Amino acid sequence: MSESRQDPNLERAIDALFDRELSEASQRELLGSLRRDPVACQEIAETRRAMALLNDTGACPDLTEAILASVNNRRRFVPASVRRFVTTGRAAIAAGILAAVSGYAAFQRHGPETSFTPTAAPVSDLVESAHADAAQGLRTVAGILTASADCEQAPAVASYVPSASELRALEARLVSSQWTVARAGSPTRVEVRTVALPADLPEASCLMLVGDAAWMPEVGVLPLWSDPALVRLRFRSPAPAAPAECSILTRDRAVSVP
Amino acid sequence: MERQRERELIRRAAAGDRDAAAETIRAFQPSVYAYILRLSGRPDVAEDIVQEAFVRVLANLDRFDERYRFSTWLFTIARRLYVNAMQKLRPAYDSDLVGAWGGSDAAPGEPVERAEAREQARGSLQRALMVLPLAQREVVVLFHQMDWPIALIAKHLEMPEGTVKSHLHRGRRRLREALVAEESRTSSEAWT
Repeated sequence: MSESRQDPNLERAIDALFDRELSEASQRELLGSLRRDPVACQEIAETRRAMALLNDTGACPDLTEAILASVNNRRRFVPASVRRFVTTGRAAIAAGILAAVSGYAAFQRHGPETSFTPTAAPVSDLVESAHADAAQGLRTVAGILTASADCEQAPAVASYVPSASELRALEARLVSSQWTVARAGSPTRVEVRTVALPADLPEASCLMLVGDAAWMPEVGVLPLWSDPALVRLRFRSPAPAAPAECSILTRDRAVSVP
Repeated sequence: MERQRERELIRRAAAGDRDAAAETIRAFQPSVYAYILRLSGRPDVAEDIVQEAFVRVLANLDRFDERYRFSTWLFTIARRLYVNAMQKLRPAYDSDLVGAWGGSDAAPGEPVERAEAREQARGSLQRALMVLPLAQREVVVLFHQMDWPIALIAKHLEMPEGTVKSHLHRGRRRLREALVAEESRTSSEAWT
């Protein structure tokens, strides 16, 4: 074994030499200065020999096939022909996603409130919504009809208490809440009245229209008019002697009976 | 291997190209094997670790960040596997190493005596290397055998560059002394 050096500067210089930090000129200068230092020269020679042996690693076994077999068990290799399709497929999927995103963005731009996601709503909301829609429709149509110059003013509304025989007739003639009304000619006046129904009758079970005998010859029997129109009815609190709230909508006018 | 070629091979291997994977293995296998062999001194351990490291890397190629070198990633995984294996296996310090190095890589036409001398020198070097603590051994191997710069070694071993240099200087000196001692022991044994 070589003797150990004591000069720390020389030690640093040799470390720098093997650390590849010295330029060629510096290396020549260092080695030249060490010619008279056999211990340092021996140390450099022995270190160079160790480094040379370090780089002689010998043969390396070829593990390629064993590695590929193990990899193939975990993640299959794909033949070149299939790989081409995979690449094309990936491109197609990417293009599809891009088109969908672009389409959605464009759709949102033109109709930002539109949503593809259905939102859950309770049934009560639906009922309230239907009522609100009906009331809104009624108000809209009523507004249109009232504004029309051809239409006559709303008819007079008054309470009417039917006779006992009329009530019996009504009881026998419960009608649905939707009637189809037809009218012949040009009516000048239609009188609409509500009937205070017996309290034991179902709510919103009946409406009686009372008009000029020429138009409505019989209670509960509607005259045959030529143009059908939909009549929507809504009743509340049909208490005796207090007219029920009633709404009637014909094609030409809307009548509200408080 | 050039960076561009390396990237192309990695991309192809990641897409499932077996030939590209094979080429990648053949390109990096010798260096990672030599690295683990120098650390462990055991060819059987080196083979197992190299194989497992490649399997892990190739099975996760889609996670590879192309900003880094593939070799750095591979060496990091191999090193982790070695450190884990070392906790289970005792490092080989004994004379089994001489036989483990074998003599199968003698160049064709090389005289038998010369081949034997080479094998003997390799065995001496490996025994001398095993005298070094692991940190010094790793730094010396990475710097002098793998030609890695100090900064990369520091990153790989997760230690400051100053510490790497310190390990390098001490390890190099100790390796030289151990090699001289080993060779003088071997030559005295030959004469007795």
